[in-house]
Amino acid sequence: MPEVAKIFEKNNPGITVKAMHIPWGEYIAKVSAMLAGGAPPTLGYTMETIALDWAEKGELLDILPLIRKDPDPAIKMENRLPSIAFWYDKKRKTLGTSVAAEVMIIWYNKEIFDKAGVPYPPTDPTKWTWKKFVDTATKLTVDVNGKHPNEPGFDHNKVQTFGVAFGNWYMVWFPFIWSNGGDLCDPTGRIPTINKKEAVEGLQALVDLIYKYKVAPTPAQLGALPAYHIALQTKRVAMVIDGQWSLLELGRLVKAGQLKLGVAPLPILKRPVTGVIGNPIGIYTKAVKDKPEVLDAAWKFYKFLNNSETVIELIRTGLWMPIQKWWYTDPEYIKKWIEDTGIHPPEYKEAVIDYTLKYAKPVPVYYLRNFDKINDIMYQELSNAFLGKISVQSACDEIAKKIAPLLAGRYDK
Amino acid sequence: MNKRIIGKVLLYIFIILSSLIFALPFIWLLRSSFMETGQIFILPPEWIPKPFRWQNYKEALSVYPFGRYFLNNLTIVFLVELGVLLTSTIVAFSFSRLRWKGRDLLFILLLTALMVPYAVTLIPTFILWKALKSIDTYRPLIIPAWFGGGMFNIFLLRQFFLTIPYELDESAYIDGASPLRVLFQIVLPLSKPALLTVSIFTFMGVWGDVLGPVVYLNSTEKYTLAVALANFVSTYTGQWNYLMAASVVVTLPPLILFFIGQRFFVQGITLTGLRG
Amino acid sequence: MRKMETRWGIMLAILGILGYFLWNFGPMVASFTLAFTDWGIAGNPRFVGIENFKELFDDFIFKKSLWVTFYFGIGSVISSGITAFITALLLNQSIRFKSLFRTIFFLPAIVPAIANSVIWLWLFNPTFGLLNSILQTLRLPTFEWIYNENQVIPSLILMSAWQMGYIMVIFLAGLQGIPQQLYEAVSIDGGNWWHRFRYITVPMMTPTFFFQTVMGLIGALQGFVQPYVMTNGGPNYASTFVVYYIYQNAFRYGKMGYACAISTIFFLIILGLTILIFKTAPFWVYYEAEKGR
Repeated sequence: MPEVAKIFEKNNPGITVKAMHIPWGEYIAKVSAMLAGGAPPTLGYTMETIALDWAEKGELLDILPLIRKDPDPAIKMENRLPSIAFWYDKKRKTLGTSVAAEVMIIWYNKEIFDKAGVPYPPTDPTKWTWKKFVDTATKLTVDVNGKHPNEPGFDHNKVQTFGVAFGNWYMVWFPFIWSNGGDLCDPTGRIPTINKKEAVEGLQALVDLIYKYKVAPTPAQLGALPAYHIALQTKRVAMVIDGQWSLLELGRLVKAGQLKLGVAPLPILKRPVTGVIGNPIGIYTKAVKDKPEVLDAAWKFYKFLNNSETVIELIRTGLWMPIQKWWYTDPEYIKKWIEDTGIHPPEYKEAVIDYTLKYAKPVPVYYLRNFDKINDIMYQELSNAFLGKISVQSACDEIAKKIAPLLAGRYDK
Repeated sequence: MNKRIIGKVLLYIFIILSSLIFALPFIWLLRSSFMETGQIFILPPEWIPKPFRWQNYKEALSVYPFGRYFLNNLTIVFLVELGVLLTSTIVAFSFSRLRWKGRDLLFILLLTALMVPYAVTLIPTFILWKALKSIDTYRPLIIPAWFGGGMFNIFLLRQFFLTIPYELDESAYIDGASPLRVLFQIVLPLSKPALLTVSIFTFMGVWGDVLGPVVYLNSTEKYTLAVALANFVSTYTGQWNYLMAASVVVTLPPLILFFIGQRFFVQGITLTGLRG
Repeated sequence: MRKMETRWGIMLAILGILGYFLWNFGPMVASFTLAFTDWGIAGNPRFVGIENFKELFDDFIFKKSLWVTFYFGIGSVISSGITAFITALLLNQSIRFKSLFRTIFFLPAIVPAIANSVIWLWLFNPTFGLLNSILQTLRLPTFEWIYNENQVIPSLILMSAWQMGYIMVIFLAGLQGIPQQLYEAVSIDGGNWWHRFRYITVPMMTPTFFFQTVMGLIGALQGFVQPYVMTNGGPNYASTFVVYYIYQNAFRYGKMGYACAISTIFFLIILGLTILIFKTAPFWVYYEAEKGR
């Protein structure tokens, strides 16, 4: 990030950016203290879960008026991915979008597929059925004696390679809940629907991968696996359900010739869908209030950061995905994004770019009130389901009961 | 005689075996610092780096101006230590060896400073320092140490001071000594292990503190080693081998300090001038 | 004498008192006041009376975290205290490489949290962790450790016994403070090691034990970082500590006022416990300096 600020300064003489480099663990405490002390930064990364609350209370600037005044097409909301927009006040105000898009997909190690003689997953999600996915994962899962989960004598405690790995967190839950036709709550954001059949079955499908089909690690086994990129490289896992951002680390291994990387969309239960996420950049009201020249400079920097063209280096390294629509539709832009990076696998265009444009859906962070607490409750209740101690249904019943008082509507409605 | 030797052998076996368990995290850290990232998190752990990468250290240390952060840390640690040692001893002396009305009640009141979680006092404290125009300076990190050096240290010293017989003070007072003189000439010389303990803990507390510097400092060049290390984690995600190398370097100063310092924990003090 | 002591007493304590009122008192009062407001860092605090405290009584996470915190707090004070005392006694003897051993036993307190976490994630792993392997070899029942809501706190207590380096150092310093003459006197009277231990070491160490009890409890009730890294507060809230929940409310849920209400209640409980422990002191803590005064 400090490098980005330097490039900006070079292109905008007269504006100096004083970049603060804050460790992520202390970030929210530091920014909160600055804000409460009346001296927030001019602009900064904002935690997705708190951004809209701060915006609604007037601490972060509504940028819709600024967008209207500015002719730059890159900044217009209609030209950015709609799935990453932060709207509030009945869609009359906005924080803009996430500074980068991050979509949930499957990364896999092609060598494991080649060795097992299993065809790579399709890049078209409509062809990546649950049955095909479970079959693929079963063939790729091998214990230390070379046995697969569907063979007698298979030992789930001594697995050499797991077919698929995934964590217990919201970016994993939601795509599968949605794919099965369920959701966390009704469209008004007030009535829980997480314990309805569709949602429960979506989550159950994930838990079944662990305990019924035995193709995925239990939470304890997952805790013993190294980070995903290492697990893929060392062939402890054949596929991981993870975010696009992992390409930064995976890409290093690809460049070093240590990993033959492949990418696929998420398998479908009933319909193709995935989740997308990303931190927004906010302008702090108090920092620019009655200071038109500061606001002007801040807006320039905001535009700089939110134009995928100017931060192209962060995109080509695999950390970010662009946010303007034309990066997903215009072959020229797609070329600029993935050509000759040496890290983007050949399936990337269809399995990630087309997939995001067509099937990515905003996760509740983008619109639901109290989501951070709801998320913590879901995590805790589901932890016992992922450990195989209780059924998904009873976990979801508990969730529905406990989040009911927290469902206080949506920011955008 | 034989029984004694067997006892000794058993003692050594016990100590060596248990010290292995306690050494595990450091051994793990050390060997990780010479590994490639891929090998670090394999479980059960592998203990021999393959290949052996000395260059992790060179590369990790070139990422940040570690030399500068080291000096920043030293400055803060030095000024804090000075304040703590000077003022906590004086305050603890008053709370242990002088008798005055309301002393013990006041002591518990001061202890309440440790009972409120930082999450709820952080913002008011920040606002306080902001009002004192001290944001982006080392003042919030240093000045409180000069006001008693924190209740942890005062309490620790108080307890130690209370184990020293009062007769020593008494005879000094009869000779016309002032309380300060009693503190510096009688009590402190008998409290070296306690003073050393306070120094080591203070050093480690300041050395490893991330939240304090992050909250009160804005300029990157004023950061400390611990902050740099924390930033390392978020910037170089995945490059764990460099992080481990940097961690070893940051861990070494307190480690060496402790190794040297604890040598002064020698068996038993000898009291002189004590009427048996 | 009395007058002199009072005058000097207040004079010498003044820095500590001043420090308290300058840096601690204000923020503490501010947090107690905010407990009666609805505030989320953004915007201005709004007075809501005792709403936050009412909410506490229905908050299942708060209630659970209170239980979890005291379970862990008391367990870890006892387990780490005992481990530290035994270690300090061992390393206070005349043995070779004493410096080295002392440093090694202190290591878990020095290394970065990540190293401790990884090691213990390995030790605790149900399928191929070291602890279960040992138990299996000894034909004892194995555990699920941190992956079971009933076993996670005992596991963390076990881990805290291993992180007792700080307490060991305090105990070592305490052992150094015992005058040699006292031991010699017992030996002259024909006492053996047990007499020396029982009638000199233990009573002379009680001020240190007292310190460890009070500070250990305050510290254990306040700490959450290391457990959080390993368990995320789970499974099923089984390792969600009060202070962690306070942090979440303060900085993540936008409920600073509520966080202050929890911390106020929590503060009162800790204060009550501390006063209680102080009240018991005359019955078991031996202060040489108070003798005959």
